[in-house]
Amino acid sequence: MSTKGNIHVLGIRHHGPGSARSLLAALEEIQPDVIAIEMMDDKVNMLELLTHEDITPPVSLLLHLKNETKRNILLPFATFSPEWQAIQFAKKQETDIERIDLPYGQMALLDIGEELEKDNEDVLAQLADLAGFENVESWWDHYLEREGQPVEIFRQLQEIMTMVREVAQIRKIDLLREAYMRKRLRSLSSKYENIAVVCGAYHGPVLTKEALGDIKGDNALLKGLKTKKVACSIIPFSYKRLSRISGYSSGVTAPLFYEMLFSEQDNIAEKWLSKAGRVLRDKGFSASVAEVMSGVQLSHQLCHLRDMHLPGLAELEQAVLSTVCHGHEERLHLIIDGAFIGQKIGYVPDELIDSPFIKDFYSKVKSYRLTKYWQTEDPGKESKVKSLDLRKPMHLNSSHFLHQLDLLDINWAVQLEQNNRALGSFHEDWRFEWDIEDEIQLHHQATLGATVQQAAALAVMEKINSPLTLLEAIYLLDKCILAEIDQPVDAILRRLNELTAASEDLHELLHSNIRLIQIAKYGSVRNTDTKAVLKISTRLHAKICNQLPYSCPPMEEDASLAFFRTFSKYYQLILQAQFEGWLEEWLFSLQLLQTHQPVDARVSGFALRILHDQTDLPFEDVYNELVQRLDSVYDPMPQAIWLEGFLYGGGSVLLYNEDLFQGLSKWVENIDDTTFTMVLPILNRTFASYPGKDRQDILRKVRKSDIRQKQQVGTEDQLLAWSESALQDAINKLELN
Amino acid sequence: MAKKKAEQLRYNAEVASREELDYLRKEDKKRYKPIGWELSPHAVVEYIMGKKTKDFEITPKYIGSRRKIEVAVATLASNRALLLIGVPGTAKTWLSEHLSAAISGESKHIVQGTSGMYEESLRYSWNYAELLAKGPTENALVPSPILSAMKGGKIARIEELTRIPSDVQDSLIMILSEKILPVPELNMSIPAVEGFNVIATANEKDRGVHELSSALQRRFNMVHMPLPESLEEEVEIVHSRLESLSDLPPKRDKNMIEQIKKLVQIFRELRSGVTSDKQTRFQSPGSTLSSAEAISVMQSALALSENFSKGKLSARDISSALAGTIVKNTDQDKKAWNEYLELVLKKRKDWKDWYEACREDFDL
Repeated sequence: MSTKGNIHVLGIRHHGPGSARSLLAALEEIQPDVIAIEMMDDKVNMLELLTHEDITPPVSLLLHLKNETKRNILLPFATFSPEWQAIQFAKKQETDIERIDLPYGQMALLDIGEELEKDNEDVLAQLADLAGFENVESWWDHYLEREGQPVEIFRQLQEIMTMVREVAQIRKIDLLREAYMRKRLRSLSSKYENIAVVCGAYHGPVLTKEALGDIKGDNALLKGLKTKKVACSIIPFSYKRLSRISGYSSGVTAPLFYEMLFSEQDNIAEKWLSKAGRVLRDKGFSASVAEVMSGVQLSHQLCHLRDMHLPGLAELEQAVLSTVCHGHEERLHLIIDGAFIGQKIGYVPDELIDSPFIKDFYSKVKSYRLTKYWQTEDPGKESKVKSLDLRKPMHLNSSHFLHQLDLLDINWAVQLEQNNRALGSFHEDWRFEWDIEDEIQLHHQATLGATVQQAAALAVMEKINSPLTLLEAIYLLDKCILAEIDQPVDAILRRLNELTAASEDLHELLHSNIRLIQIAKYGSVRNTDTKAVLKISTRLHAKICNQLPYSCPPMEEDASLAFFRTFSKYYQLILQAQFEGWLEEWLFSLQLLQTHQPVDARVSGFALRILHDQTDLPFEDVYNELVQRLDSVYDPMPQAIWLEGFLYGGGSVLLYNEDLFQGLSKWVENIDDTTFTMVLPILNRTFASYPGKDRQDILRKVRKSDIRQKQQVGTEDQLLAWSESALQDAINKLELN
Repeated sequence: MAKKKAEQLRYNAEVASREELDYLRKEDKKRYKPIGWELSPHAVVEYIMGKKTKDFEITPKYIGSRRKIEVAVATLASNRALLLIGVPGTAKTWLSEHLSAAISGESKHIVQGTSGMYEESLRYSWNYAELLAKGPTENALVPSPILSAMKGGKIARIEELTRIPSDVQDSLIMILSEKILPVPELNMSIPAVEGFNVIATANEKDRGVHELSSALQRRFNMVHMPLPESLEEEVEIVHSRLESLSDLPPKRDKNMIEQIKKLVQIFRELRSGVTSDKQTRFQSPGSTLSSAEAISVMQSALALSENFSKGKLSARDISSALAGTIVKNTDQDKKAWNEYLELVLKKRKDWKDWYEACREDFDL
C-alpha cells in the first residue's frame, strides 16, 4: 500500500473537556497538514457554518433528508467539545480540514433503525463498572482526561480501545462507517504528508496507517449504498438540552462543570464549589464560605485517596453533599440546574439563516412584538401570558400567526382555555414558554414552505390526507379558520362530508356538530365565509335528528351523564344559534324519541320537558307521563334520574303548576327512608343547579303545602330535609365564591 | 473457634481486629499519613472495606458503597469532624468504632448522648475531694472522654448526638473550631493534640428532636448511611455479622442462606410497604426494621434451633422473635403485620411454612 502520508490517530470522547485540552496540545505538537475529522461527509456547508465569527456555542447542526424532515439528526457542539476545538484550530492555523464519516444521506437509508440511536459506549460502561466507577464519564475523567504528554495519552488510549474492541460486539453501522473513513483517509494520504485523525476513541484502532490495507474489503462493504441529498442548518443549542439528549452523540450530565473544566481548570474545586454555594444561597439556604472551603478540602482529600490529580464530578458531588448541602440529598437536587447543567444558550446570527421560512418567522415575531418571548429559557420566572384583543388588527394578525405555529406543532405559545369560550369572544390569552425544542421544530418545518402561513397550510394538507376522526377533522377546520389559512378549507370540508357520512356514533356526532355550529357562528367574527360550514353543519343536524330516536338506549350512569351533558349543550346551542328550521326538526325528533322505549331515563325526562316548554303539548299529557313514570310500583332510582332530566330546565314548572307539584310530592311521600337517602344525591344535584330564588320559592311552597296537609308528617320532614340540604349546598357554594 | 471459658462478652474493634491492624501498619509504609494517624487514609479504607492478598485476608467491616467510606475517611483526613446520619441499624456506631480503631489505634473515647446530659460529660468534671482540699488545680480536673482524646491526639466518639440538649451540644463548637477546651476556673485552656477529631452519629428518626444549631452543623461533614441497596447485599451483611457475633455461627448451607434471604425480604418489603415484585401495596409498620433487627431475630432463632429443634433452622424458629420485632405493642403494627401475612405471605406457595408459623405466633 503506497500511502506516503503519516497518520496520527487522536481518539477523543465526544464532549470530553479533557479530550479537548489534550487534543489541542497534540495538534499543536503534530502541526498536521490536514485534520480528518469524524463528521458526516454530506455535500453541505457544515464547517463554514461552524466557523462563522459571530457564532457562540452551544450550537447544533441539524441534518435532515431533503423533503423528509422526519429523518434527521442533531450534532451539537459546546466549547468543550473536542470537535469544536479541532475545527476552530484548523481555522485559526489555516490548516485544511476534511470530514471523513459516512454521509448522513447514506446512513439514514440503511435499515438499522434503532442501532443508530444506541451508543457504542456499552462496552466502555462495562469496563468502567469493572473498574469501580459509577459511569463512563467518571471513568474517562479518572484515566484519560488528566494532564500529561498529550501524544502519549492518545497512544495509551489507542491501546485500551484495541482491547475493548476485541471483546466488543461491533455494530454493523460502525463497520460501515469505519470502512468509509478508511476510504477517505486513503485518498487524503495521497495528497497530504501529515494527517491528524480526530475521531471517537472507539474507532481509533481501525483508522491507523496499518489498517488502510484492505481496500477490497472496504469497497465490498460500501458497495451498493444508496445516497440521498441532505439539508443542513445550524441552530442555537442549550446546556439544558445538551444534558438531556442521548443517542448518536452521548449526552453530557454536567455541561457547566465541563465548561469550567475546559476553560479554567486551575483551582476547579474552589471555583465550582463556590458556584454551587452561590446557587444554594440563592435558593435560600445557608451555605457559608467556611463550608465551601471545607468542601474544597474534602474534595482534595478524596482525590488524594483515589490517586487522582484533579477532582472529578464524583468527588465534587460527594464533597458538596457532605459539606455545603449538610448531607441532604434534596439540596443536591436543587443545585443540579444551576451548578451542574447551567443555563447557557448559544447564539446563531441572522445571516446564517438562509431559509425564507425562518426569516419569515423572525420578521413576524418582530412585527407582532413577540421578540421578548422568544429564546428566553428562564425556568425560574413564570412563563408569560399575553392577552389579545381580536378587534385590533395587529392582535388579530398575531393570533393568526400563533395558531399557524400551533398547526406546525411548534408549542412555544399555548392558548389558554377561556372560561367562556362562547360565541363572539374577542379575547384570546396565550402563554409563552420557549424551549429549545421549539427552535428545533421550527427548523424541522422549514422545508414545508417559504412562509409560516404556507408551511402551516401544507402541514394541514398532510394531516388531512392521513387517517382522521370526525372530531380531528373539525379541530383542523376550526384551527384553519383561527389561523386564517384558506387553502386547505375546501379539502377539509370534502373530508368532513365523507366522515359525517361514515360516522354512526351519536355522541360523537353531537360533539362534532357543537363545534361546527360554533365555527359557523363565530367564524363571521373573523371574516371567514361560513356558508360552507353551515351547510355541512345543517346536514349533520339532520343526521342527528334522524338517529336520535333510535340511538338513546339506557346507559350506565357515567356514560349517561356525559351524554346528557352533550345533549343539553346541543339543545342550548340550537336555541342560541336560531338557524332556520333546526328547532322544528329537533322537536319532531324528540316526539319520536318519546314513543321509542326504552330510552335513557335522563334524556327521556329532559325530552319531555323540552316538548313541554317548546310545543303546545297538552298539559295532561305531561302530567300523565309524570304520574306513570313515578308510579310507586317501580324502582325509585331510575325515577329520580328521570326527574333530574325533567327538572333540568329550571324549577319554574313546579312553582306555577300545582298538579305537577302534587304529583311530585306524592312520589316523595311514597318513598321509604332508606330509598330516600339513596335518591337524595341525585335530587340534590338537580335542585342545587337552580338559581337561589327559585329554590327559596320552592321551599316556601313546600312549607305552605305542608300546612295544608298537616297529617302527613313524614312527607314534611323528608321534603324539608331535601330542600334544606339543597339550600345548604347553595350557601356553601356562595361562600366558596 | 476453640471452646472458651466465660470471657468478656465482646471486644473492642482494636482488640478484635488486632492482627489485621498490625498487618496494615506494617504494610503501610510508603503512603502519606496525616499527623497523629496510625494508618494512611488508603489503608483505613482498605481496613473497612476488606481486602484479600495472597497471604492475608482483611475481612470487610462494612458492606456497601466504598465511595461513602472514602468520603468519611477523607473528611477525617481533612481535619473536619464527621457526622454519620441514618436510620437505626445502618452500622453507624459500628463504623465509627472501626474508623477510630484504624485511625487512632483505639476506640474507647466515647460519650453516649442522652437527653439528660450535662456539659460536664462533654468537657470535664471535678474530683471534689481534691478540689476541697487544694482548691481548683489541674490535678482536680476529671477529663471527659472528649478531653482525654484531645490530650492524646485521638478520635473521640459521640453516640446519638441529636439526643443531647442543644445548649449542651453547643459546648462542642469551640472544641471543633478552635481545637481548644477553655477551663475558666483555672484561667487556662487545654489545646488538642494533632490527631484529635470527632466522629458523631445521629439517628435520622430523631431529626428535629434536638436539631443541631447551624453553627454546629457547619463544623461537621455529614455522611448519610443508607440502608443496604440490594437484597443480596443485605443477606450478606446479616450472614457475616452472625458469623462474627455468635458462639453458634450459622452454617453456610443452602437452607440457612434461604431462610436468611426470606427474613431479609420480609424486612425489606415491610420497610418499603410494597412487595419486591412491586405488585402489592400494603401498610408499613412503624417499628424500625433494619439489618440490625434482622440480625438479632436470627440470633435468637439460631439459639432456638440449636437447643430445641436439632439444629436445622426452620421458619418456626424465626417466627416467634420476628413477631416481637415487628409488632412493638401498638395496634397499628399489629394491623400492618396481619395485613402483610394475609395479603402477601399467604399467597406465596413456597412460603407456606413461614405463613403458618407466623400466623400461629400472631394468634397467640
